[in-house]
Amino acid sequence: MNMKRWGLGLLLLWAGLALADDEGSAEQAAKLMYVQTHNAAVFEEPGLGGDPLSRLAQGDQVQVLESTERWYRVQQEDLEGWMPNLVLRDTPPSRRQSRADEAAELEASPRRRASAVTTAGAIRGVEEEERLLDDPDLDIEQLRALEEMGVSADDAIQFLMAAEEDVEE
Amino acid sequence: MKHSAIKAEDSGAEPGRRTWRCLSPLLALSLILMPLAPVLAEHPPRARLHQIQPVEAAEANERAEIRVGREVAARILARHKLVDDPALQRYVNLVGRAVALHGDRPDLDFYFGVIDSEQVNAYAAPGGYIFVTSAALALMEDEAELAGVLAHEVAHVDRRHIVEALNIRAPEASPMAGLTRFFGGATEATQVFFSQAVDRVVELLFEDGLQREDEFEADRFGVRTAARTGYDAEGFSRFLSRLSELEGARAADELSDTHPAAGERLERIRVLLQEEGLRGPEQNRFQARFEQHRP
Repeated sequence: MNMKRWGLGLLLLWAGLALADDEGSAEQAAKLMYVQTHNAAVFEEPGLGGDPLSRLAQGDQVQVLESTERWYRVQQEDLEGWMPNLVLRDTPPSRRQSRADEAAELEASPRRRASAVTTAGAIRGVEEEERLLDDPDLDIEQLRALEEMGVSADDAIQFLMAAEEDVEE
Repeated sequence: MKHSAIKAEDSGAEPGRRTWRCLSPLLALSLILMPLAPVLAEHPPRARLHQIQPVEAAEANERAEIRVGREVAARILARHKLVDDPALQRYVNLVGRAVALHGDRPDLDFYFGVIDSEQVNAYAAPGGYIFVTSAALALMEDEAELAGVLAHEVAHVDRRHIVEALNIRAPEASPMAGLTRFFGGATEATQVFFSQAVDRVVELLFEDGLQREDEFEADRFGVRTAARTGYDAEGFSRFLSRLSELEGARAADELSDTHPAAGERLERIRVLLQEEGLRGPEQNRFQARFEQHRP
């Protein structure tokens, strides 16, 4: 009986602490953001002119001091500068980098190097992929070509930045 | 069924008993009741399992969505080949991915393809497989228009319009799952499930069209997403307007089979642009870059 009461007390205490902790982190989450891409550049001004002050790693935390429509002024220790809002989110980057990683996990075969193409194939399973190859209503070769052409988030961000430079010029 | 399952527990041999005792009561209960789930009105044991594993269920559902979308993409590609122009395809992928990063599902891997077709149209299969026809591309005048069209399709994926309309989800999350797992034959049942889903998606995309409200929502979200990406927010309506003015309006007719009338869409977009102050900037049309890539 005593044990039960202790157990209940501990449970309530734990729940209380968990709630308090949640509130604390919710408050912080409004200011802390995470770098989503590799080698994200930090600029002196909100614009892409000039060399970056520094580069941050994917998953790094920064404190947001100010925001504009497309830029955040951020701080990380002694470093202070501007980053495009595209590369920051208020949640850590997902562990799953791409469909390829997920597929590699699913396939669970360390010897088999998953390309972007085996990926989605792995989601269906190898047998399933073979079944599709025989289906005259499907063009798997074209599908693979399509998946080969997919670009990464990093490539797309670089592309947008180049566009922004064009406009500034 | 319930009776026999309990009996199996009671009369198990010694090592069996041990295993049963090790199982958590919830798991044991769900194993017993799993085959009964389809006949229970609200499937309480299943609902509880879902509450425990919402993330896994969501991931399984997304995998199911991608699996269906991928097969739909292979079907579309069997009808219309990819335009053989790697530079163009890469360019369209860059614009599309940039837009998708500003949508509701930035982590999803999107694939964009220009397909050879004389119909002015674009298609979004579930899971992020998006197509725009060569005829649609020929009708566009700048990158903001391309971004607008792709953003409309990305919005269909982000808002899971087809997934919801057809209730596409992981077979293990459906009420039938317990039954098939219990009696075996899950593989066949799964294949049938996916094939039927793929058939229905193709019908929706090429014949029936989505619900009018879904199209309006995709217009709204698409315009906002293109603007957030930094494009001239009027790109999509300029394209739509040109499409509806096409003499002979053959292309417009083809589109109107599966979409609401252009006039009503344009009016709604005009109101949205005005209310949310999404006009311009005009320099963000990137016409020169678009012209470089268009065949």
